[in-house]
Amino acid sequence: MKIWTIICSVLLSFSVFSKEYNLYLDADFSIYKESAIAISNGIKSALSYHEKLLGEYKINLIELNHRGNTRRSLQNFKKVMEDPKAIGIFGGLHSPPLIVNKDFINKNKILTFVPWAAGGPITRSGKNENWIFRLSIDDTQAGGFIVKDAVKNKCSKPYLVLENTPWGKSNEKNMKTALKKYNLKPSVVQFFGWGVSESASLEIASRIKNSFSECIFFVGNGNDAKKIFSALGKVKNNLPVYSHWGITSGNSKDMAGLIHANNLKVKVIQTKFSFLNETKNNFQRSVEKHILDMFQFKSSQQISPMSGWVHGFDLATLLINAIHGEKLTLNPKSNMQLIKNKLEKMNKNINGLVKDYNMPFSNKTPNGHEALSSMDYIMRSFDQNGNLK
Amino acid sequence: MAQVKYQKKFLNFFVVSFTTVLALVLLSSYFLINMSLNEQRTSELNSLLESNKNRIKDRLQSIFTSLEDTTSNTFIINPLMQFDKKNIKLIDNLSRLKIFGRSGQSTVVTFDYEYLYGNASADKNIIKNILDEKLTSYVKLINVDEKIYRFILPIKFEGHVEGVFIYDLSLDFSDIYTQDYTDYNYSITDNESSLSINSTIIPKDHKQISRKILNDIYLNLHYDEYSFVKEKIYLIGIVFVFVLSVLSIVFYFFYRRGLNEFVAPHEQLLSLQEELIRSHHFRDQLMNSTKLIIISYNKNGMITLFNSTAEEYFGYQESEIVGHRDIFELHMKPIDELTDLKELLVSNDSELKSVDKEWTYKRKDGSSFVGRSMFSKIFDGDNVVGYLDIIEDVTLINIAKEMELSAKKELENSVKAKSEFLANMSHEIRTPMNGVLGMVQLLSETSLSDKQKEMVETVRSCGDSLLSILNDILDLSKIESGKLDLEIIDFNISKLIEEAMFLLSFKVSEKGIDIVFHNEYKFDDLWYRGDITRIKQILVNFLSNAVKFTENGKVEIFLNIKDHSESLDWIEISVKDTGIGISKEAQDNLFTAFTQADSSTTRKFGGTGLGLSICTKLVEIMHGNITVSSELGKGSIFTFKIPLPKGYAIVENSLNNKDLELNEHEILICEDNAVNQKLITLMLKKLGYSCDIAKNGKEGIEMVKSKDYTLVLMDMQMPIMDGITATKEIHSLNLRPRPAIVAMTANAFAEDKQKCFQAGMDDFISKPLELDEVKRILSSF
Repeated sequence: MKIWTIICSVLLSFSVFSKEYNLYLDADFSIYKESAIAISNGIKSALSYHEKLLGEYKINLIELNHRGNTRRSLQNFKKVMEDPKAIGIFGGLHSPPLIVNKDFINKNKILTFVPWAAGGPITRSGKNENWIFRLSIDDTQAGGFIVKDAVKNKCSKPYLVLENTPWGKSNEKNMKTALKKYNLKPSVVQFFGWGVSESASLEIASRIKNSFSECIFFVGNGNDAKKIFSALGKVKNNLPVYSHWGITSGNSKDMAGLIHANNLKVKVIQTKFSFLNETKNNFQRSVEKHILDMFQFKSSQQISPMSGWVHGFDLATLLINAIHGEKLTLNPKSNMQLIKNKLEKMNKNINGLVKDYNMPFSNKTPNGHEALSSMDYIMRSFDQNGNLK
Repeated sequence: MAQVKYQKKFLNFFVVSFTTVLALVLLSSYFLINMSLNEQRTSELNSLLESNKNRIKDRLQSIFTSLEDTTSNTFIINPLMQFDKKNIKLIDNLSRLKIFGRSGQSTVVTFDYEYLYGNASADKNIIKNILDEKLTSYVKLINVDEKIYRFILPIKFEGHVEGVFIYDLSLDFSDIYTQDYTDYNYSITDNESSLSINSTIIPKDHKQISRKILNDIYLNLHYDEYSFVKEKIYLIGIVFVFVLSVLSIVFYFFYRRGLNEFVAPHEQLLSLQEELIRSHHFRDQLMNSTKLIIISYNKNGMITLFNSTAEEYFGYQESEIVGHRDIFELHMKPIDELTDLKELLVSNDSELKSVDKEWTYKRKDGSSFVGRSMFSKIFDGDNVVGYLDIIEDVTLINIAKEMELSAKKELENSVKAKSEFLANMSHEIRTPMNGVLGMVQLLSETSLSDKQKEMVETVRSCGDSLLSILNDILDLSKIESGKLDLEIIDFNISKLIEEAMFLLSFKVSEKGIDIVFHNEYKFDDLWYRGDITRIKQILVNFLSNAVKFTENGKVEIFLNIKDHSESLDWIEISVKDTGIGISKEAQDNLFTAFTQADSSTTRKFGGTGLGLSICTKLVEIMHGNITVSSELGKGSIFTFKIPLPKGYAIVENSLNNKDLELNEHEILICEDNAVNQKLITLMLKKLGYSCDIAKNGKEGIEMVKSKDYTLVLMDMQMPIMDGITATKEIHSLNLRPRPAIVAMTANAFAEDKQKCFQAGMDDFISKPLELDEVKRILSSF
C-alpha cells in the first residue's frame, strides 16, 4: 500500500512538473556560508532575471553543503548523479573538493560550474573528458597577475604564505613561475593548514618579520587569513600583502575592519566588475536594479561578497543561454551532454556583468573552460565598510 | 517488714531494668556499631574506589585531551578534508604519535567510514554516534592480555565533526592504586572483558563493588568480607565488654542512690500513708461514733463528707450523696427561705463565720426532722474552701424542753396554788379574826369590869399577835409568788422613822429603855418616792427586834444618805441596840425564813422568825441590801440600804379621820359570812348608818336593781356569784346614778386590788375592817 502511494506520487510529480529541472550548488555553507550564499543568490538572480529565456523550463536550485570536505563533496556529486532531473552542479569557494574529485566528475560526466574556486587544475582535466566550466579567477593566471602588481609596486622579495592544500600548492607553482619571469624568487614559502592556530599564526608572522622580505603573497581563505593578519598586526609587520581572493570569502566588513585595525596594506585580486563601479552599462544597471528589488536591498553595498554574486549570475546566465532553445529530456546524462556541447559552442554575444561573452568556452586546452582571463582581473583594497575598491 | 519487701521489690525492679537497659543498650550498640562499621567500611571502599576511579578516569580523560589536541592539528584536518591518504605529514605524525610516552595505533576514519589512516576495525555504531555528535568520545578495553584500550574521538573542523580518530593504547593503571594494592584487588571490566589490574587471581568468595569509569568501562574493587566480619566482631566484643562494665557501675551507683533517695522516701511515704489511713480510719470512727450529724460541703455547697449518723438520719448512703448532691437538697425549705444560711454562703465577710440555728431537714424519703445546726465556714488562710455542718437532733431536747416548760408551768401553778392556798388560808383565818377583833374592840367600848377589861385586852393582844403572824405569812407568800407590788408614793423619811418609833413607843416605855433617832438632815430634804408601807414595815421589824431583845440600855436609829445625785439617793437606816447580840454562826441563818438566832430565843422571846426573812426579800425587791453587825452580849446593829428617787413634799391634810364629814348613803353589803355581816352592820350603825345585806353577788345585783344604793360594799369571794362578776354585772346595768362599789377582801395582794379596779370597783378596803377605814370610805363617796 505504502509503496503504491510512493509510486503514484512520483508519477504525479513527473506529470505535473515534467519541465522542472534541478540545478545543484555544492558549497561550504558552514564555514564560508557568506560566499556560498552569495553564489546561490547570484544564480537565483540570473534564473529570475532570465526567466523568459528559460521559457517552459523551471529550474530549481538545490543547495548542498560539503563544509569544505572533499569526501562530502564527492558524496554530493554522487547525489547529483542519482537525480534524473539534475542538469548540473555549481561549486563553491573551495578548490580542493573540485581538484580532488575532478577525475570522478569527468569520469561520470557531471556538468560542473565553478564561479569562485580558482585552483588551476580544476578546469584542466588532462584527459579527454572535461566537464568543468569556470567563470572566476584562474590561479594559473592569477599568480602572474599578483606577481605583476607586486613587482610593479617594487616588491622583489615576496614571502609566500599559502594554505597547505592543492589550491595553495598550485598557487605556489604559478607564483614561482611568474616571479621567475622577473628573475625573482620568493624569499620564503610558508604553508599552513586549514584552521591554523593562533600560535602557529604568530610563528608565521614572526618568521615573516625576521625574513627581510618586501611583501607577502597570501593564498588562503578568510578565516585563516584573519588569524594570520591579526598575528601580523601583533608583531607590527607592515609589509604590503598581495592576496588571492580567498580572503573575500567571509564577512567582508569584518575583514576590512581587521585589516584597518592592524594597519595592514592588503590588496586582493578581483574580477573587474563591481556594482560599486561608478560607470555601469544598461545591462549592469538593469541587473543591479533587479537584484535590489528581488532581495529588497537598500544599496548595492549589500551585494556582498560581490565576486560570488557576480560570477554566480554570469555563469548561470551562460547556463540559461545554453539551455535556451534546447529540448531537455528526463535523461540527465543526455541533458548535461546537450548543455555541455552548447556551452562549448556559444558563439553569440551574451550580456554579462563582468563582460559580454562571446564564445566563453571551448573544448580547447588549457583555457577552453575558463570564461575569464587575466584581462578581466584587478587588484582592489578594502575600504572601511568592507567594500573592495 | 514492708520496708524489706519494698527493698526487695526495688532490687527486682532494678535487676529487671538493668537487664532490659543492658539488653537494649547492647542491642542498639550492636546495631549502631554494625551500621557504623558497615557504613564506614562501605564509605571507605566507595571512597577508595571512587578515588581510584577518578584517577583512572582522569588518566583516560587526559589521554583524550592529548588526543583531541592531536585531532585538532592541521596534519590530520587537511588530509581529512581533502581525503589525502598519502599525506606525508599525516603518515609521519601519526606513526610517531605517543601519548604519555606510550606508542599506540592510530586510525583516521572519514565521515563516510573510509579509512584515511590505519585499519582499526571500530564499531560502526560508535563511529556513527560520534559523527552524529551523540557521543563526544568513547573508550573501551579491547585486549585484556595486552591491556589495550581503544580511544575513539571525533575530528572536528571549525566546530563540525568531519571524521573519527581511533587510538589503541596499552595502559597499566597499577601505579595509580599501589597504596592499597595489598588490601584489595582491582579489576577493570568492559562488557564481558575483565582485566585484573593486580594481575592476581581474585578469590571467588570476595565481594566486589563497581564504579563506571567511562562508557562501558567499570572499575571493580574486590574485598574480603570475612576478614571484615572478624574485625567487626572483635570491635563489637570490646564495646560490649566496655558497655557492660560502665552500665554495671552506673547501675550499682543508681541502685545505691535509689535506695537512699527513692526507696527511703517511698518507705517514709508508705509509713505516712499508713498513718494517714489510720488517721482517716480514726476520723471515720470519730465521725461515725458520734451521735452528731457531720456533713461537709465544698465551696459550691456540694457535699464532700457524710458520716454514718448522717446516713442514719437522712437515709442516704455516703456513696450516693457525696459529690452528687448539695446542701439545699437536705433542707425542707427552699434556699431562698434559708435566709441565715444563704447569707453565710454568699457572704464574703470573714467576720460572718457561722450560723447556729435550728433547721428542718429533709430525709431521702421526704420526711423531716429538726436539727440544731452549727454551720460554719472552713477557711484556708483567708479563703473559704468549704463549710462544715454539725447537726444535733433536737427532737428529744425539744420534747424535754416542752416537758421542762410544762413542769415549770406546773411548778408555777403549784406555787400559785400554794400562794392562793396561803391567801385563802389567811383570808379564811383573817375573816373570823376580823370578827373576833372587831367584836373585842366593840366589847372593850362597853362598860366592863376591870377584870373583864383585862381579859378583853388579853384577847385583843392575842388576836393582834395572831393577825401579825398571819400578815407575815401573807407577805412571805406574796413575795415568794412574786406578787408583791410596791406602791410608790411621795413620803418623808424622817416622818416615817418617827411614825415607826411611835408605834414602838408603848413597848419601849413599858421596858424602860430609851429609843433615840439620830437625824442630821432637814425635814424638807428628806422627801422621797417609795413604798412607805414596806419601808416602815422593815424599820418596825428592826425596831421590834431591838426592843424585844434589849433589856437595858437603848435603841438608836441612824439615818444616812449616801451617794447624793440629782435624782437618786442611797438611804441607809441603822438600828442599834444594846441587847443580847447574835453569835457569828447564828448571823448566817438570820435571814432565812422561820429561823431565829437560837431556838431558845423563840421560847424566850416568841416570834415566827419570818420578820427578817421578809425584810431581806423586801429590801432585795427595792434593789437594796441588809447587813448585820453584832456581838454576842453587847448588842446588834441592823442596817438596810435602799436607793430611792427624790420625791415631792406633800401638804398634809389637816383633817383627821375623826374629823371627817360623812355623806349620806344608801348602803348595800354583799357578804356571805354572817359574822362579817354583823360586824359591818354594827360598825355602820355606830357611825349612824343603816344597811341592806345580800348574801352573794347575784342577790346583790337583784337588790341594786330594786333600790337606788349609793354605796355597795362588795366581798370578793362569795358563793353563787363572786364580787368581781357582780361588779361587772352592775356596770352592765348602766344605772344612773351608779352606786359606788368598794371591795372588801381579806386578799390583800396588789394583784387582787388590780382585779377589783379592772372589774370597775371604785375603792378597796381590806379585812379585818378598821373603823377609820370605813369612815374614810363613807366620806369619800
